[in-house]
Amino acid sequence: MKYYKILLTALAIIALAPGCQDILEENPRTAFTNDYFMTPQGAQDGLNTGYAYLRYHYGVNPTLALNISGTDEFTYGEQPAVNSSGDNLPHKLFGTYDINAEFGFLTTTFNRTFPIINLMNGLIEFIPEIGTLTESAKTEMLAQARYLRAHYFYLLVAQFGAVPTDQGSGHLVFNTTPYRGFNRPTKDDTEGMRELLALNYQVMIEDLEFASQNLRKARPLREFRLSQAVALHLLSRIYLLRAYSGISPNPQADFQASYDAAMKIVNDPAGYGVQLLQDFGDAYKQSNEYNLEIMFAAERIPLDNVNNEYTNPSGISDRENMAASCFTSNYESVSFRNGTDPIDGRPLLFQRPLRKLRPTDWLLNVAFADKVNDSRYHNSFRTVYTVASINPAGSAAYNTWLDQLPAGVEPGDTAFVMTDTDEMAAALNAADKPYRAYGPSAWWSPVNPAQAPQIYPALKKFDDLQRATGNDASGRPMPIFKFAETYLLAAEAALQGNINGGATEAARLINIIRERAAYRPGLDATTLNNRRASMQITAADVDLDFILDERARELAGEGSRWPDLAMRGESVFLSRVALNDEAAPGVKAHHRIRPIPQQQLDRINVSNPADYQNPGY
Amino acid sequence: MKNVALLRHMHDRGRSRCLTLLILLFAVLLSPAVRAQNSVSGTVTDENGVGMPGVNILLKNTSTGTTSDANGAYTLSVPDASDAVLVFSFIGYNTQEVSLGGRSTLDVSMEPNVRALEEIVVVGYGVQKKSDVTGSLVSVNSEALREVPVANVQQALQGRAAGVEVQRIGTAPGATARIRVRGERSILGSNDPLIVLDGIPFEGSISDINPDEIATINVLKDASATAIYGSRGANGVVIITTKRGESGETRVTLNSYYGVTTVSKKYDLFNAEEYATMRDRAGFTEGYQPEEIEGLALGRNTDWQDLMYESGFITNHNLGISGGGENGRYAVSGGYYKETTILPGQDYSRYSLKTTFDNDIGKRIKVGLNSLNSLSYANGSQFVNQQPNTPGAFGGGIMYPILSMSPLMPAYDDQGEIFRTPAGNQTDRTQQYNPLLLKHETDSWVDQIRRFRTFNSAYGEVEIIDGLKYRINLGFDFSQVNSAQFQGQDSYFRSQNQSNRARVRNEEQLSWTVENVLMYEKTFADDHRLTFTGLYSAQKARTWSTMVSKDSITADFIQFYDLGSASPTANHLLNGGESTWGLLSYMARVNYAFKDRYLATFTFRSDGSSRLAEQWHNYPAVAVGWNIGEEAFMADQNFVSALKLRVGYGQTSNQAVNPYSTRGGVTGTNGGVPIRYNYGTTKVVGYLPARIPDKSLDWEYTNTWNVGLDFGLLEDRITGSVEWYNAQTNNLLFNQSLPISSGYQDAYETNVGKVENKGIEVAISANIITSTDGGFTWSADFNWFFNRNKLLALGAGEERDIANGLHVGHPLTAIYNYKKLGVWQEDEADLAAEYGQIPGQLKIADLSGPEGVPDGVFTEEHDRTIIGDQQADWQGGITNRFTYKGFDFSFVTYARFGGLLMSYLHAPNGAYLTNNNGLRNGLDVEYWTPENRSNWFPAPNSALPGGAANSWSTLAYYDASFIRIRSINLGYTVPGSIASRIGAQSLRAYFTVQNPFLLYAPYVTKWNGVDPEPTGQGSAGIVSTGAGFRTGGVNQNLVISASTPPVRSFIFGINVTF
Repeated sequence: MKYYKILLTALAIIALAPGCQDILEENPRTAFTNDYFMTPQGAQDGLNTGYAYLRYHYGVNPTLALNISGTDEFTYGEQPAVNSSGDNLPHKLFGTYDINAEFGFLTTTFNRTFPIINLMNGLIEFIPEIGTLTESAKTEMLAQARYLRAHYFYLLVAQFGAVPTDQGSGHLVFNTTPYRGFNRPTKDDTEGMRELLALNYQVMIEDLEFASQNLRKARPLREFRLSQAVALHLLSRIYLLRAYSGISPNPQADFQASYDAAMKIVNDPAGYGVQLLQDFGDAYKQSNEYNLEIMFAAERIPLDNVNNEYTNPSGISDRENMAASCFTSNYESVSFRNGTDPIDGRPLLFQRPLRKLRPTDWLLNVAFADKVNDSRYHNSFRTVYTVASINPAGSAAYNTWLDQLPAGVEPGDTAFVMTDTDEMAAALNAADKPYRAYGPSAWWSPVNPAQAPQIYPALKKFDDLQRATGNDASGRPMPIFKFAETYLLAAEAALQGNINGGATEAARLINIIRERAAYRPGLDATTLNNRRASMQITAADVDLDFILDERARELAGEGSRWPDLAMRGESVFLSRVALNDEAAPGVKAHHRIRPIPQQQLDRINVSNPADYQNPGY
Repeated sequence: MKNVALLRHMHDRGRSRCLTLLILLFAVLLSPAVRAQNSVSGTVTDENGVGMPGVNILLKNTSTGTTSDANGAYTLSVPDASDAVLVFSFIGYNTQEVSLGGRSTLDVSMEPNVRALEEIVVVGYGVQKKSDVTGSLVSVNSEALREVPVANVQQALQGRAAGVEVQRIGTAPGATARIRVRGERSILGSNDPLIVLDGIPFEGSISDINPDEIATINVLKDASATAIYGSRGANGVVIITTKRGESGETRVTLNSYYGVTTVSKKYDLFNAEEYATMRDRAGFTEGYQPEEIEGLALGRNTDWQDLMYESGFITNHNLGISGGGENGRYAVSGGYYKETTILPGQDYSRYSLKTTFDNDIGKRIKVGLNSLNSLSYANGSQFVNQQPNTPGAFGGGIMYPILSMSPLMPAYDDQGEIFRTPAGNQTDRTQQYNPLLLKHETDSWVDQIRRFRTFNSAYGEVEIIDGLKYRINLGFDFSQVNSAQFQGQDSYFRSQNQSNRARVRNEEQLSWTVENVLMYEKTFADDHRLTFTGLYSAQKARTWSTMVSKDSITADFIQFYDLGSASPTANHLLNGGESTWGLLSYMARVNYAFKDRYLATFTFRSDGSSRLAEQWHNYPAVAVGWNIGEEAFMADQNFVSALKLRVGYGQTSNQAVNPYSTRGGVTGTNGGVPIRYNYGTTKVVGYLPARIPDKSLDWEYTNTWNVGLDFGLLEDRITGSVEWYNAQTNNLLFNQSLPISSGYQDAYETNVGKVENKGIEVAISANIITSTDGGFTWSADFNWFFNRNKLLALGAGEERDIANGLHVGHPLTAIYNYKKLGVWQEDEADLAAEYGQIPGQLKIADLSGPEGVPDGVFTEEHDRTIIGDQQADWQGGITNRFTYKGFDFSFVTYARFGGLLMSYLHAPNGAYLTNNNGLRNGLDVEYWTPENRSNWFPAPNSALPGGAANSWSTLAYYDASFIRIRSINLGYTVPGSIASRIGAQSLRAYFTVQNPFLLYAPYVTKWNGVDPEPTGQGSAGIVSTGAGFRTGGVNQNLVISASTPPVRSFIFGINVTF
C-alpha cells in the first residue's frame, strides 16, 4: 500500500531530524558579550565609552557642585538659597558643608567612574591579544586606555580618597565576579588607607608615564583625541598632588617629576601641538573650541541632541552640559527705571538663569581686585546685559514688548550693568539713563537673600548661543585641561621643590601667564606695555597662596577648584575655604574627603557597612 | 486519491547541515459512496424519550451515514442488514453501537454521559478518563464557551475555572488579558501559563485563536499534571483542543452574531457650573479664557463625552463544513470577527481560516493535519487609546482631553467648524487640540497593528502492535506583526509647530516543534492497568524585529508608507532585535491503576535549554489517587456516587531566563540612551559591560503539593472537587544590585529569592432541577477560590526593593506608600502647619523618622509602609442555566472580593484629572471645602504648599471588590420540524447582553469610578505613579487609568447546522 510507504519514509526522515544538537547552542545576533572588546572595532568602541563618560564629570550640574561649590571661588546661588529643595538642595548643602552620604550628586562622580575603570582594565587585558591590529595601533590604543583609567582614578581619589583597585577579580583585573564587598580598609584603618592611596597614586603615575610616552605626540587639530600633552599635564598634576598627599615616598622627587612633565610641554609647545593664545578670552569663544590652548575637553556638538546623549535637552541632572546656565543669575528680575522689562524671556545670549552658583565676594573683589590691568575678570564674567527678546522681530509679541520700552531704547542697548565699583554705579545711576547700574554692594548674595534684583556677575566662559531654546543644555565641548595651567603647575612644582631657583623660576613662569592676561584687543601698544608691566610679579611675591590666587584668576569655574584645595592638604583646604563666607562656619577637616555614597554602602554585603564610610560622616 | 507533500528545509544561520523542519500535508479525497441495497429506519430519542435531531448515524467501517431529522427519525441504506452495525453518536451522549441483526426498523434511546468522572479529559500528551486523573485540572467545554460570545480565549476563561484568574489589561478592542494560574511566582520571568494548541506548544498572542474553533479548554494546575511539561509547567498549562471533523454526513454550521455596544457608564465629571466653582475655589490666577467667559454668560455646558461617544458594534460569523467517511474526516471553517467601540478610531477585526484532515491508512495508521490561520487588524490600540508614557513612544491619547477639556468652551465655532483649541488654560491651548479633530480628520493619523499567523500541526500515528502506538507530532508556527503609526502635522496629535512623524515596526516569529511519542497501554491480570507514555521532542523558536521612526515627512499624505521622503533631521530612530531559543526534551510517564481504585502516576521529564549554561534539568513528579467511591464499603449508600482523593507532588519551572541572559550585558546604551561621543565632527558609538555575566543562572523551580477531593453526590447530580495546594518557588530570579565599585552599573540577574503560593479551590456543578419531559431544568456551575501569594526572600539580606515594589513577607502586588489619614481639617490648622501643610490638604501619617519615631516631617524613607496589596481575598463565578421546552436561559456571574485597586484616574499626578487646580476639568470628586469637610479629596488649590503633592498617589487606592453579571443569555432552539423547513438540522437563536451590570462595586458606587476592573498594566496611561510599584518588565501592577469607558453590548445571534 503506497500510503504506508510514503508515511514510513516521511516518519523516518522526521524522526532523524531533531537529532541535531545545535538546537541548544546560542548564537546571538544582537546580544553583545565581552568577546566584542576583543575585536578592533569593539576595543575602539570601549575607548569611546571611556571618553563619553567624561561628559558626566565636566559641565553637568551635579559635578559642578562637587568640583566648584564651597571653595574660595564659588558659593551657592540664589535659586538654592531661595528654594532649597529638589535639585537645589545639594547646592546649598555642599556650599555650606552640610554634606551627607544620601546626596545623589555624589553618585554622579562615584558611579560614573568604576564601570569605566573596569572597562579599561578589560581593554588593557584584551588589546594585546587582538591579532588583527598592528603593534603600533595596539600601543596607541593601550595608551589611551591607560590614560583614561588614570583619569577616572584621579576623579575618584580627588573626591573620595583611596579607592579600591580590586573590583572583585584582582588588582586591576577585569572583573568577572559578582562581588558584593568593598576592597577598601575600614575608616579606623588609617595605615591601610594610606597604603591604598599610595597604590592609587602609583597606578595613576604608571599609567600616565606609559600614556605620555605612547600616545600620539601632537594634539590633533579640530578634535580632542588624547595626545602626549594631555598625559604629561595630568602626570604633572598627579606628581604634584602626591607630593602634597602625605603618602609620597619622596616629595622632593615628586615635585621634580611634576616640574619635568610640565616643562616638557612648556619647552616644546609646537611639538606637542599646543599654544598660549594672545587673548585670554579667545580660549572660550564659541566656535573656537578647538583652539590650541585647550588641550583636552569633553566633546559635544552644538544642537546635536542625539550625539550629545540628551533625551531631555533641558534636563539638569543627567549628561546635559549646564555649565553656562548654572552660573547665571536671575536677570529676568531686573526692570528699567520705568518698571518695564528690558529682557523679554530667556534669550540664548544670556543663558538659562539656573542660578545655582555664585562667585564669592573674595573672587570678585579680592582675587580680581585689579579689574583693569587684568583682562581676565571681564573675560570671565558677564556684567553687562542688553535689551533683548526671545520673540522674532516683527512678531506681535515682539511689538507689544517693544512698545513698552522707555522712549529711545532699542534692542541691543544696555539693559543693566554690574559695575566694577559702587562709585561707578552711583555715577551711572546719577546720570539720566533709562537703565540701572549695580555696584558690588547691590549684588544678590546668600548673606542678603532678600536682595532684589537677584543678580551677580555670571561666569560666561561656557556661554552657548547655538541652542534650540533658552532652556536647552549646551552642545559645546567642555574644557578639561588648558595649556596655561601647565605653566602654573610647573611654577608650583618649582616653588615647592626649589627647582631651577624655586620662586624665581615660579615667578618667571607665572609672569608669562600674567603678561598674556594684560592683553585686550584694541589696546594701543603703550597702554598694553604699561599694563603688562603692572601685571609683573617678582620672586618675592610668590608663595603657595599667590599661586592659588593666580589659579583662581586663570581658571575660575573650570571644574577643579575643590580638588585643587582638598588635595593640597588640610591647612590649605581649611584656610582657603575660610575665604568663603557661607562655607567657613561649617567646614571641618574631614570634609576634605567626600562621604562614600549611601547607595554603595547599602549594596555591600558586610555586617557593618558604616565602617566603610569615610571618617566624620 | 491524491496526496500533497510539502517539504521544507530550514537552515539555521546558514551553516547548519541538519534538516530541522519538515511539514507533511496530506489531503485526502473521500472514497465514493457504496451502493445501496437495503434500508433501515427508526427514531432516535433522548433520555426523556423526546426525538433527538442531528444524531450521527454511521454504518460501521464505512463512510455511509446519515443524521436524524428534526423529530429524531432517520433512514439509512445498508448493503447487508444481517451483519451491519450502526454507530449512533452525539456530543454529550454515549456513543452506541447496535447490531442490526436483519432488522429494518431500529429505535435507539441515547444516554447522556452524565457521569462527570467518566468524562474523557485531555492531559498533556494524551487523554484520560476523568476518574483516572490524579493531577489537578479544570475543563471548560465548548458548551460553556458558547454561553458567552467572546473575542478571545482569555475572556472565555474569566470566572469559569477555579484557580484561574483572568484580568484584563486593556480596554481597546482586541486588547488582551492576563491569565494567572494559581498566582504569580516569578518577578522577572513570565507568569503566563504555557498554551498548548492541539498538542503543540503555542508561543505568542493567544488572541490569534478564534474561540469558535475551540472544542475544549483544559487547564492543568498542579505539578503532577504539568510536570510532563517540565521547564514550562510551573505557570500552569492551558491545553486547547480545536474542533475536528467527524465521520458522517457533511455538516454545515453557521454561527453568527451581531451586537451593538453602548457606554455603560460615563465618567462623572464636573459640569460647567461645578467646574467654574472648582476653579474659583482653586484661586486659579490665569482667569477664564474669553470663550469661557462667553460660555458662562450663555450658560454653556459642553459635554465632551456625549460629543465623542458613539455606539459601536460587535459581529462574528463563522461558517464551517465538516464530515468524513470510512477513512477520512475533515473540517474547514472560516471566521470573521469585528469589534468597534464607542470611541472613534478604535476597532479590531480578525479573519480566520481553519482546515483539518484526519485520515486512516489501513487499520493501524493515522495521519492528520490541522492548519489555523488568522489575520487581524487592531486600530487605535497604541497611542489613540491611552497616553503612553514609555520614553520614545508616540504620545496622544484621547480620553484625557475628553475628560479634562473645559465644559465652558464651545466644541464648534459660529460657522459650525470644529473649534480647534478649546482648552481652558493658556498652556494647553497651544498644545491640546479639540478631540473632535481625531473623530473627523481620520486621515491625519494611523495607529494600526496587523498580525498574521499560521499555526500548523501534523501528526502520524502507527499502532505497531495492539496497545503500542508511535506518534509523531510536527508543529510549524509563523507569525508576523506589523505596527504602523503616523501623526500628521497640525493634527489632533501634533500641534502646529510640531512636525509630522511616523513609525513602523515589524516582527517575525518562527518556531517549529517535532515530537516523537510512544504510548503503550495494557491491562494485566484484569486488575492491573498500565499506561506508558514516552516522549522525545525538540523545539526551536526565533523572533526578530526592526523598528524605524522618522519625523518631518515631506507630506502628510505619505503617512508611514515612505519614511525616505523626509527632510534629514536628527530625530530618526532605528532599532532591532533578535532572540532564538531551543529546547530538547525527554519525558516518560507511567499511569498505573489497580482495580480502578488505586491510581498512581509517575512522571519524569528532562529538559535541555539553550538559555542556560548548565543546560539540563530533570523534573520528577508523583501522584496517587484513591477512588473511594469504588470501594465495597461505599456500595451500600446512595448519597455519594463517586469519591476520589488525590495527592500529588512534583517539581516544575518556568522559562524565566531570557535567551542570552547568561552571556553578560555588554550594552550600547546607558539609561536607555545609546552611548555616543564625537571626536571633532567624527561621531562614534560606545559599548560598556554594564551587567556581569552569571553563568550559573538557572530556572526558578516550583515544588507543588496538591491535595484534591473529587466527588459526585446523588447519582452525580452534584459533582465537584475541592483542592488545596502549596507551591514554593525557589531560585527566584532577581536583579541583584552590586556595589558600583564592582565596576557594573546594572543589577545582575541571579537566582536568589523565594515565593510561595497557596490556596484552596472549590468547583461544583449541580443539576438542581431535572426534568424527564422537556420541562423546566436548572443547573449551575459554581467555582470559588483564593490564592495567597507571599514573597519569602529576596537577595541576601534584602528586605525590600522599593523601586520594584518588592517586600519580603508580602504579596508581589504589595503597595508601599504613605498612609492617608484624610484631609487636614480647620481645627487641625496648627498641627498641619508644623508639617508645612494647610487645612483642606491631604493628611498622611507620620509613621517614623531617622530615630525610629515620628519626626514631624514626611519623608519617603521613613513614612511609607505597606498599605495593602492587589491580591483578591477570594474570587469565583456562578453560571446558572435554565431550560424549558426549546428555551434556554443562562447568566454568568463573576465576583472578586478584597484587595486594593490602583486607580490612577483618581491620583492627581497620575492622570491630572483630579488636580482641582483650575487648569482643567476632571472627575466630580467630593473635595474639601470649609462648608463641606470632605475627608476624601483635598480642597481645590492652584498654589499648593511644598510637599503637598507627595501624598497624592494615596488617592489612588480603593477597595477592588465587585460582583458582576458578565452575561445574560436567552436562547431558543427552534423545533426540528420547523428547522427542517429551511433544510436545517438544528437552529438556535439567542440574545445576549454582555456586561449588563455590576451588582456590587464600591469603587463605582462610592468613589466615582467607572469600572473596577483594570484598564492596563504598569504605567499605561499614567503620568506619574508616585510610589514604587512594578511598571516595567512582564509582571507589572494592574492599574486603572483614563481609558475607554466600560461598554455593554446587546448581541443577537444564531447557531445553525445544516
